[in-house]
Amino acid sequence: MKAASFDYAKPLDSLDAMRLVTPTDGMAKFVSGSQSLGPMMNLRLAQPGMLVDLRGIPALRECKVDGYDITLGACITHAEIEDGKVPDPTEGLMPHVARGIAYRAVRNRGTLGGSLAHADPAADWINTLRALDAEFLVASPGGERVVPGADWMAGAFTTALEADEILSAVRIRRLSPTARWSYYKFNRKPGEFAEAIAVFIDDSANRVCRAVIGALDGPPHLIANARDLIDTQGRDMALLDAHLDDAGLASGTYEYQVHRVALMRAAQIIREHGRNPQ
Amino acid sequence: MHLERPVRWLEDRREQLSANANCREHDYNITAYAERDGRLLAVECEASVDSGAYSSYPFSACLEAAQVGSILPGPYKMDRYQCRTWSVATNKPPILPYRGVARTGVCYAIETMLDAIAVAAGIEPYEARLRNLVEPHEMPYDNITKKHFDSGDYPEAVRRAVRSIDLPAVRARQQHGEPDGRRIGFGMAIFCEQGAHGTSVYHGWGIPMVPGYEPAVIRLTPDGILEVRAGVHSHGQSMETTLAQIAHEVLGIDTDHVRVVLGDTGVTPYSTGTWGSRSIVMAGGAVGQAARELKERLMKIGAWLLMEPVDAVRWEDGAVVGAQSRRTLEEIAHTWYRAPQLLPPDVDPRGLEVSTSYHARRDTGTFSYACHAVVVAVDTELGQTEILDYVIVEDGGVLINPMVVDGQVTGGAAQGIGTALYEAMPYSDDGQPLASTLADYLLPGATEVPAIRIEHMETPSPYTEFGQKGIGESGAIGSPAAIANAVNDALRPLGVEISELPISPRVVIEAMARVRAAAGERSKVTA
Repeated sequence: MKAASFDYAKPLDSLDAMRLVTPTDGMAKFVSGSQSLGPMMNLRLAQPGMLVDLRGIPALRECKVDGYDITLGACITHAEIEDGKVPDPTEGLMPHVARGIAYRAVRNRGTLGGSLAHADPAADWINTLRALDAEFLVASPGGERVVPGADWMAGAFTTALEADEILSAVRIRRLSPTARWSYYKFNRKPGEFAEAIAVFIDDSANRVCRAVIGALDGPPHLIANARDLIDTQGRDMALLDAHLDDAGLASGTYEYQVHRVALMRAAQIIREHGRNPQ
Repeated sequence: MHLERPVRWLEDRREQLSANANCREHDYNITAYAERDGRLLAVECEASVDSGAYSSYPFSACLEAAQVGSILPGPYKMDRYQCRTWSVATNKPPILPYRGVARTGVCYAIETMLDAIAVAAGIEPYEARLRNLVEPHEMPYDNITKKHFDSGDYPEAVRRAVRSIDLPAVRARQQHGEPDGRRIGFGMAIFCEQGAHGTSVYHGWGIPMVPGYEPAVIRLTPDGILEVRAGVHSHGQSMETTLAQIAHEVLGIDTDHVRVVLGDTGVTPYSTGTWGSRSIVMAGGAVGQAARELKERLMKIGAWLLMEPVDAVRWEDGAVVGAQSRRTLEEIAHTWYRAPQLLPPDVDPRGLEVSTSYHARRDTGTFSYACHAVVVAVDTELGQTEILDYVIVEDGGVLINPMVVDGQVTGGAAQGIGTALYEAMPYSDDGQPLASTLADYLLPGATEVPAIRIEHMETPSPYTEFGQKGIGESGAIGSPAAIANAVNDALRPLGVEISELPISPRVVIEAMARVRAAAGERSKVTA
């Protein structure tokens, strides 16, 4: 099947884009790479009356280095991050994650902001950026606002964005050159959505040692202090299980098991290698 | 025709996955009886097949179940056999025949039993097979369900596969253990596949559509092109190549000068079509037979033009060759169409167009066979299975084109890998189809299908035109059994046995959890 008919606009700035959405009463959707919304429209699970394409807005592709903060525009593609075409605040973590997103064809079009605004719990950026404690810069009709990482995702496919707001960029605190990180994604086939994700970031220069359990039913589960997990190389079952229980996983299930293994293996990688071997 | 206007059928992926035919949902309750040394004595089985809600053809609801009973003994000898099968009507979409009809399930059932026998007898899986396979000196062999195996050396296929996979090295690797903690498993499966079976077989089934003689029309055009018109169709089998090769084999005509026209009743003969691994035997036989008849007519004309008796000339490289000179296909075609005054007075008035129909010397079918040998690594923490090595030793009789056969076998095995590890059509408790996109209905892709190593044996069928056998479905039959046996070989030291397909991570994890629970242990992962 192909998508139901819809109107299409490609405005040149965010204010125009928001003006196009406001009067259409919830029937308009912003779109960037269209790698999630497109398939849903083709299945007619989504039938917006209008698509407002954000890719014509130069401001959404801007990247800024501002002291310790790096801002990446929402319309940066996964492939641009993978290929190092934009500044990397993460000492290789984001290019590594980008390389594992779906397939290259998807990465060529899919965008950072699109993925974050879509908020599929099993997607890569929503979990990675939570571990990085990224901030979300939102353009609203009334001006700009900043959403802290903890408040971005309310539930599966639900974010802090209002229907007429645009995620314009994410702001990420630079990791220090000595930072260690690890990323473990379990999926049935390369390119499929994750069944489990675990992320570790250990940046002692910035007094950060976080982990995320991801690909849950809802938002990523942040472990604010992951030192014990790293020090025990993920081998302390009681410790692992305490975090899995906190994440709301049900003991004894397949989901519990695969998340436990992802967390355990990510802890082993950061402990043994410092970073994922490239 | 009822509407008296053209109709276009539009079906999207979701409709196709949720409403189109399913198949291969079999359930086996099977017991094998064997001597302590692994020699098979008897098999007893009760099998049921989920047939869905309707029969798509008058008989298709029973097509798989009916075959299970007759093909379950596989390539093995046994003294006693009993099998009851049931077609179970459910409220799911109906089943339809799909590559390796019923055989994937049957092969899985009997080959997992052979592994069980090997374990009980304390012998290697290949030894259990070698003790029970029909031997080459017994060919042709009528098995316990009266299947007439035409030819082959089944034990040799097993020996070659085991040699090629280097079983001693696999066993040593298992002993040694993997640095990443995964468990290695070896599995194999051997089967034979009846193909191109004809009138007597289908009449015996009592079904309303019985295939008979397979037609082909060939004609030489005025410019020396050979047109081959056959009623079968090629949906990836490369019959455009192989039927042209058969014409070349008989007539010596360059395959570039052969035009193959397939499966269109407007311009080709009527046929029951492409199914049952029959086309290369039946349509191939018909094209061969037609080409031979055409050659006879060409020889008579050519000899006359050379002014030599027919028995003094010979056919060579697409030409009639006499003591002094030669007349090519093109020259003879030109004579027939443009210079008929030069033709012999007693020329066959049917000219350069031959319409014929073919029937194998014996219509009980060809039995191609293959042995699949697989090495897998199972991640017992995540339940994920990776295929490390895959060998297929395949005997399709005389191969018209080994590269085409390789393609068929590899493609079939890819489908079998899907059956083994990925493909399932699950439903929720209230009947919602849960796999309605290809994100949920997983298919093996480039990263899941290994470089399969294929070895060919060539035991001619005594009953077909060139000794060829049908192999189109064969690749898909052996993989689920071989992969399941390999996974179980890997998990056996843990006391875990998987007895369902597909072997998804969830199936493995849950089976391991059950074993742990049974052992009274608290569920845990050891690092």
